[in-house]
Amino acid sequence: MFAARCEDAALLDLWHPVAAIPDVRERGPVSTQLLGQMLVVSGQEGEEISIKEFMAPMVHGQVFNQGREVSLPVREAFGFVWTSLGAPPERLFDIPEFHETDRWSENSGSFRVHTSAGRTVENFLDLAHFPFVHEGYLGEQPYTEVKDYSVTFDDREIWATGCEFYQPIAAVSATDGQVTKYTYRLAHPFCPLLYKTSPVDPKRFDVIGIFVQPMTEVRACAHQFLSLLDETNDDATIKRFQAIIFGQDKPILENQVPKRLPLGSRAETPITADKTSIQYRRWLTELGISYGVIRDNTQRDSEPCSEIF
Amino acid sequence: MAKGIAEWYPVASIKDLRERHVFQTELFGHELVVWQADDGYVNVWENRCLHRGSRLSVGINDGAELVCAYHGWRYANQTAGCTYIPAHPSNSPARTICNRVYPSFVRHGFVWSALEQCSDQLVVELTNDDEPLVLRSLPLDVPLEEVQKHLQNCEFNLGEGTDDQVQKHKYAPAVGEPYSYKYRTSNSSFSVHLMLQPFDDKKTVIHGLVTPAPKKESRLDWLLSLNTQLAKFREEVESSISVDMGRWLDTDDTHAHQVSQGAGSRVSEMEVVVSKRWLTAIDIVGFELRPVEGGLPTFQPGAHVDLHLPNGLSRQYSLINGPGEQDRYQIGVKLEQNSRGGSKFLHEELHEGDQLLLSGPHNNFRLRRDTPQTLLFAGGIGLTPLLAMAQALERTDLSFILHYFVQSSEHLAFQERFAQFGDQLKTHLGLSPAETEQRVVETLGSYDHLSQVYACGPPAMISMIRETAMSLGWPPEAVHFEYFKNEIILDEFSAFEIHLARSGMTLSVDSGSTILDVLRENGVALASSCEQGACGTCEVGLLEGEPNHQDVYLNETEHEAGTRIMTCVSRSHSDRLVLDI
Repeated sequence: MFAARCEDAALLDLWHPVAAIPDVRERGPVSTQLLGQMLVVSGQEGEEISIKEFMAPMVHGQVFNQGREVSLPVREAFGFVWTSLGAPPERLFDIPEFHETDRWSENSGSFRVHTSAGRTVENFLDLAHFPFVHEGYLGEQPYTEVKDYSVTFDDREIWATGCEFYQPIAAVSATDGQVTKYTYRLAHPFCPLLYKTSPVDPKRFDVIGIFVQPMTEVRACAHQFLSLLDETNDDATIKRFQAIIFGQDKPILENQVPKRLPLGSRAETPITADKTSIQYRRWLTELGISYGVIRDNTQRDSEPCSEIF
Repeated sequence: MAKGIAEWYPVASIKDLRERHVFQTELFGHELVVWQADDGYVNVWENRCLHRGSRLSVGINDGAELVCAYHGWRYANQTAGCTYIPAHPSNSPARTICNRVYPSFVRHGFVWSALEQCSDQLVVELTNDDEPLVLRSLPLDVPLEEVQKHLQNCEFNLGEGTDDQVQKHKYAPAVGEPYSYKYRTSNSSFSVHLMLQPFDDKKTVIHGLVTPAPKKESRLDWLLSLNTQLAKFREEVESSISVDMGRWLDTDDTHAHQVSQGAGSRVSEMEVVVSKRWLTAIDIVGFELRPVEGGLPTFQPGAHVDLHLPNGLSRQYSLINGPGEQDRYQIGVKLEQNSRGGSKFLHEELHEGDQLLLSGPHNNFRLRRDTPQTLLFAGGIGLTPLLAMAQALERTDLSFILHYFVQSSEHLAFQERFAQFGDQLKTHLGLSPAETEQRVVETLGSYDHLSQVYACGPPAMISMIRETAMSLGWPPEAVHFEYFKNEIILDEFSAFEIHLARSGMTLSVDSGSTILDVLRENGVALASSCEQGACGTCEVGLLEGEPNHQDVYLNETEHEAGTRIMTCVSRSHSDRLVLDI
C-alpha cells in the first residue's frame, strides 16, 4: 500500500534508519516504509546489504502491478541500516561513546508507533512526563518539577544541557532513586540522544537514543540505541526494561491529536519545561519541512491526508 | 460549517457517565470528552489537552478536575481552566490556558451538546410525568443523511403484551424534525423517540427513549422486540451503502487545531451577587458570591479575589473553595477592630441579594504539589487560603496536616468543610503566643527534605513561624507564607520606557505591567498566546537597549544577540528599549 510521497528536499536528502542489522541478517529480507515509499532491505549473513525501493505509479488511486525497482544507497551505522531517498550528505553524525570498548552498545528493539516522527522525537526529549507516564521507573510523583536547563543550537544540532530529574529507577542497573543529570542531543532531525549519569560510574554517561524512521506522515518506527556501562545485566533484561519504557509511551503518543506535529506557535501551549521542543519545532520550520508536520494553523488543514498504513 | 451545527444533539446517555469515568465521543467529527464531576456537573469539552494535544479521554477524572495523562495538567470542573502544571509547581497557569467548552446540559437521561451556542429549543420535549426509559444507543457506520433517508420510510412494531396479542402499527416520523423521530402507538400508550447524533461524516449514533417506561413484567420482552427491529434496521441501512474504505484510512487533522481561548481568558471586572451570608465564627462572616451572568473564572488553591465595594474601597479576600467548586466563590471576612471601611462595610452593609464588582482571582500564594508532605499553619482568619489548599491536597495522594490556631472553639470558621479532613486537621485553642511558638517548634521538627510549610495569619505569627523554621534548619524555599494585612504585591520589576521606532511613540512600562500590556493599552495590536515567554507569538524586534529577556523561546545565542524580545515577559536593564514596531 502506498501513501503520499514526501516532497521535502530536507527529508529526502537525509540518511534514515530503516532496519536493525541483525533483523536483516537473521530474519531478512525486511520490508518497510520510508517517507511513504515501500522498501525492501535484504542481505543474509555473508551477503552485502541492499535496499530496493518499489516505485509504484498510481493512476486514479490504482496501483499498477508493474512497479519499478530502484536501488538505494546503503550505510551501516550504530547497528542499523540507513538509507536515503535523495542525495544524502557524506557525513552521518557520530556517537563517540559507541566506539568505546567497555560498553554494551547495541540496538534494543525497533518499535512501531502510530504517530508522526516529530511527535515521537518530542516525547523522547520530554522530561516532564516521567512521573506520569513512567511512574516508578523514570519518575515518581510528587517529584514533578522540571528545573531550568539550557538549550543551544548551532544550525546542525540542538543540545539541552543541565537537565536534572529525580528518578526512582533510572536504568536497570540502578538500585535506588537518584537525581539523574541529563544532556539531550538532537544529532539529526529524527535522532535524539540522551546522555545520563551512569548508575555504575557517576563520572561517565550512559547514552540512549532513538533513531526515528518516518514511515509515513503519521507512522514511525523508533529504533532504540543503547550504549551502557552495565556489567551486571544481560541483554534480555536491558531490552525488557527498554520495552517497558516504550510500551508506556506508545499509548500516550498514539492519543495525541493531531498526529502530525503542529509547528504553528499558537497550535499548542508550550511551557518553560518545553524549551527543547520549542527549539525543535523552530528547527523543523526553518528546514522547510511539511511532511508529517502542520506548518501553521491555516495551511493544509483542508487537504485530506489519505493514508493506508 | 455543515448544516445543523447550531443544534442540540444527544452525545451520551447519562448512564455512560459512571462515577469518575471519562467518556469519549464525537459530534460532526469533533472529538468530545464528557465527564461528570462529583457535584453532578457534566462537562463537555474538546478532547484535547492544550499543552501537547493529548486526548483528555485517556486522563483521570478525580471528581473535581480532569487530569491529563501525559503531564498531569489539571483542568477545572465547569470552566475547563488549567489550575496546575506539575512541571512548574510554583507558577500559576496563565488564564488563557482554558480548554474549549461546548455548550451542554442534561435532560431526559441524555447529555445534550452543540458545536455552537444555540437556542434552548430541544428537538424532544417531554414532561417529567412521562417517565422515559433510555434505550441503549445504537451506532451505525452510515452517514447521517442515509440514516435519515431510511428512517423516513421505516416502520417499527411497538406492540404490547405477549406474542399472540401483538398489535402491528406503522408510524411515520414527525415532519420537519430531521434529527428526531417520534413513533407512537395508535392507542397512544407508548411513544418512542429516536434521536440522531451525527458522529462524523461516516458514522451516526441513534439514541432512543420510550415513554412511559414499559411495565416491569413486560419490559424485557418489549425491549427485545424493539432491539431486534433496530438491529435489523442497522443491518439494512449499513448494507444499503457501499462499504467505504475511507474510515480505515489514517485520517488526521480534519479540523483546524488551534488553542481556543475559552471563557476564562482576560476577565477584568465582573458583577457578582451575594447569594448567601452567614456568621461562621465570632466576628467572621462568610459570603457566597455567584455571577450575575455567565460563569466565574477558574481559580487555584491560595488565590484571592479583589472586591470593589460601593464605598470606593477595594479589598482582597482568599477563596475558601475546594477544587472544581466553580459555581460560586466563598470568602470569609473578619471584622477588623480598626476597619477603615472594608470589613466594616461588608459586615454591616452587604446583604444577600446585593451586587458588587469583583476582579481576579489572582494567586500569589501558590500551592506546590511536589513534596510528599505539606504542613499548613493557619492563625485565625488566615485559615481561608489554607482551607482551599487543604481541600486540594485532600484530593491527591499527598499527605498534609492543617494546624488551625484560634482563641476558642467559637472562633473556628467554616466548620462545615472540616469533616473531609479527619485527623489531618488539628485545632489548637486558646494558646498564648509563647505556647503557640512551642507548639510550632514541636510540630515542625527539623527539616526532613520531604515537607514544605504554608503559613497564613497575623503578621507576628507568620514571622514567628518563619524564624522558627529557619532555626530548625528549614530552607526558605520550603517555607511559604502570605501576610494578610497590608499585603504587598511583590513586583521585582522596575519601570522603564519603550520607544516604538516606526510610529515614533514613547510609552512607559510601569512595574506590574508588561510591554505587551502597555502596547495593547495604546492601541498596538499584538498577538499573544502563552504569555509566559514560551511560544514566541508576541515577539518584536529590538533595535536599541539592554533587554532582560526572561523568556524561554529564544536560545542563549539569541539572548546574547539581543535583537528580539518577547513582549509578554521581557523587560529592560536599561532605561529605554527601542522596538522595531
